[in-house]
Amino acid sequence: MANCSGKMLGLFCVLTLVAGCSDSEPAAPTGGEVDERSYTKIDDMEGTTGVIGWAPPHGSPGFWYSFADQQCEKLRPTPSFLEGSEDWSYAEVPEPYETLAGVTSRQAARLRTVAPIVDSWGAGLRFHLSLPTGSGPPGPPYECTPESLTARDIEMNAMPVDLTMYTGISFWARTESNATGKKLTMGLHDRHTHAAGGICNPTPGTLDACYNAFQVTLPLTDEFEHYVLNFSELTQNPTWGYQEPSGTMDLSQIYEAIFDVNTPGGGCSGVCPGEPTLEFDIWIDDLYFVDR
Amino acid sequence: MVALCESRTKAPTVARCCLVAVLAGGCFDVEQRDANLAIEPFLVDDFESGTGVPPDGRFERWQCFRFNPNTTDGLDCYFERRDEDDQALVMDFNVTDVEDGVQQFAGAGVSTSAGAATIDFSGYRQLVFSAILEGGAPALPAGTLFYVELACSSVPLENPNVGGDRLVNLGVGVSGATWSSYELSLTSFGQPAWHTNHLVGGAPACLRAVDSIALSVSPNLMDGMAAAGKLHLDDIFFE
Repeated sequence: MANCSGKMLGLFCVLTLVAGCSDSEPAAPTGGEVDERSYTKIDDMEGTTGVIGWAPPHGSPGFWYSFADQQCEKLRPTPSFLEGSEDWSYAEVPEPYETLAGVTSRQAARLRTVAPIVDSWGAGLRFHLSLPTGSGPPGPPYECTPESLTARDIEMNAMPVDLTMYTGISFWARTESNATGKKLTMGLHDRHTHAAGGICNPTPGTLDACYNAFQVTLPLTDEFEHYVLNFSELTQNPTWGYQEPSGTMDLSQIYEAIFDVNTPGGGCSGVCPGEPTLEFDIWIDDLYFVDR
Repeated sequence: MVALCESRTKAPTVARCCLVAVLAGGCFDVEQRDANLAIEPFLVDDFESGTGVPPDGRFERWQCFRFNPNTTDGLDCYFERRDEDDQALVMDFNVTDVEDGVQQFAGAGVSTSAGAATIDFSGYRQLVFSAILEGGAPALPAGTLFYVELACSSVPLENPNVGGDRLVNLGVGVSGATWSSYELSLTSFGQPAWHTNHLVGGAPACLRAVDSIALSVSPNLMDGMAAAGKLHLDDIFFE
């Protein structure tokens, strides 16, 4: 049984609950406490292409990609925008396990470092919710720099989707126990924080820079646990980038989902004692929207 | 109906009572905190981890900075061993008051931010730290001041239409080539005199919602002057 204490910001640990799923395969309660929520599947990670399973109302679904804006070569899988990168693949979970009632997971999205990332904010996994039909991923090659990746993001012409019919997001996640980065930041980019929204400043490092997502940070354990986040719990980091004055994410225009691992204690913006390093191995599985 | 038994401990800060449930004929202990019980010291950092990240999970990595002008040039921050079991933070700095006919009050310091979190230090009596401030070449002027600054970005200003820093600070004379301990009473912290847009609730409101801590050296350089030094810091805590 999972220990549900210690979760933050309205996060519910629901390992012991039984869930219903609205993704054409409603899960029947199997006893114990009943989860009244119903879910819409985004991706169960059981495929091979990395293309998101959820079909957006317009355009084509996005695809998983790993991301950093420096030292990308230390990530596995390596970011698809790099020259010579390998195709995306999911990883087999250590042991198949049940996520929603009656649903067995055998694969998950996994991101890990093969060498310490030094003096950086971190790295992560991402996907856009809607891309122009038939466009496909741009590149490679792109350079592993903030400027190059912002240019790539704009060239992808991602489109916003309306998520107001959902109240939150649900997924399973774990970390390897020997990692230095054991916290996962889950977030969404809306029209305020994504470069394609035309509001924030796409130039990295500016006071109103893009990509300060609405987010929440979760401490992971070495066991897969079920995390259910209400969209209302996601907030921007107040210390950098464009700050939406209302403090509220525009759920009607969402561009991208992010799963980041940040360097513990934050990166070093100038001169710091010691050398900030980050090593991690995170797994994300069975991603769903929570229906309203 | 219960009866209060005599204390069975000499511990001065915890009243340990035996409550006899007369009707049930049972007896059990309860712990009752003394209203005047001192709260545990809050360790900001003793720098023993060597990570540059304070032990409290809310504070982020120490950053070293220069101000007026804001730059990271002329800085080197690192750890040093005080002895086998003790490590300290060191900031080597060179600062210059750019010659432009105006005194800029250039300086350098170290800070840690709690980001979106706020920490209530109003229940503490003083901030304690150990330091050495060595002069370099050019030497630090005699009027060099050391400031401890507690920022509180979420506390509103009396005039919301005019900008202003949201912080309280306290200056102290720090000098000498050997370690000294400094104890700064939190009741002595206040908004800098040059701040005319005051915090709503004053210094107490700020102490209830601290979101960053900075310790800085202000050499009070005249226009066009330069100075260098080495600040050693250790064992910063509230008590």
